[in-house]
Amino acid sequence: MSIAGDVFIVLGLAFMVITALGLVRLPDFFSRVHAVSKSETLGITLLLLGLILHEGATLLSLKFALILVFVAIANPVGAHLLTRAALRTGQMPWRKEERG
Amino acid sequence: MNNEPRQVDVRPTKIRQTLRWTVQTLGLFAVWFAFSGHTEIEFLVVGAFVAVFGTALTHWLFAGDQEPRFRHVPYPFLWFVRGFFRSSLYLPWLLWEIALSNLHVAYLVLHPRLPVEPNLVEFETSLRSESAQVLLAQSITLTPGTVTVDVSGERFMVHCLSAKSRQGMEDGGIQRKVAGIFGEPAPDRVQLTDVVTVEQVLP
Repeated sequence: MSIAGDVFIVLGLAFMVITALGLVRLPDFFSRVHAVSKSETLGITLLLLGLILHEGATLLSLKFALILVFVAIANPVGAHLLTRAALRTGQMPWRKEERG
Repeated sequence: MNNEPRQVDVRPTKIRQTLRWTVQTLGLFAVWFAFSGHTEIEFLVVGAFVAVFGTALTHWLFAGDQEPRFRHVPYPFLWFVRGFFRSSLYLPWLLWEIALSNLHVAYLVLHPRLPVEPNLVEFETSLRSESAQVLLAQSITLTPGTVTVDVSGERFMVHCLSAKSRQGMEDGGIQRKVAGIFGEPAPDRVQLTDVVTVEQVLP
């Protein structure tokens, strides 16, 4: 059980590292929001699942599960608000054709 | 079977408002108690204060929101069970989609040439009810590769990270699933319009 938990935690951390890498590599504001707000969803899900596996069926696990629910609700709302604000203040997304 | 639920007027009456306050405060207090796990009086007093404050804050924030929020349905219990059953089928599917598209974004980021093709598209959804539109917007944003940027009426503006995520929007898989839950007609194919200039965004 605790080995499975470790595997989940390491996988979650790996996804978070990829998220950070995406933040550096992606071309503009909008695509960075993709990386930051959502690859993170899977990262934090795996991380918390790993912690739940470590912890077993306790009150603490219930709290982890609740955190998961809150993140799942708050993340898309945050991403939506960020991009909408950017668009309304005149930011346009980067397009591939414009590179040449 | 009558699938067209009738809207009824449920603007808050005095009783309804009191009931809402009570239920919400008790709910918040229960969550506080679950999270703290302490039974000492100090913690309970602080918890009660926070619960009342949170309720007051939301009622202040949504004071202008007087839309009818319950629909009249012939068999409420059956309707609820059906909705519960359909959502319980939807959630695993959504989680699976989230995992799949997360892998897709990870692939894009790790690829040496960074094969992204960001584009902004607009489409009109066939979903009519407000809850269905909210669920659609949230689901689109939760699946990486697509973010709902703006919603006005039936028009959704979505930013896609790659050609593949754009293809996913065009197929309308998420819309069909959401339509299934709410018992609304599902679209076959989604007509996407590219948004390129600032004039298209700010009318």
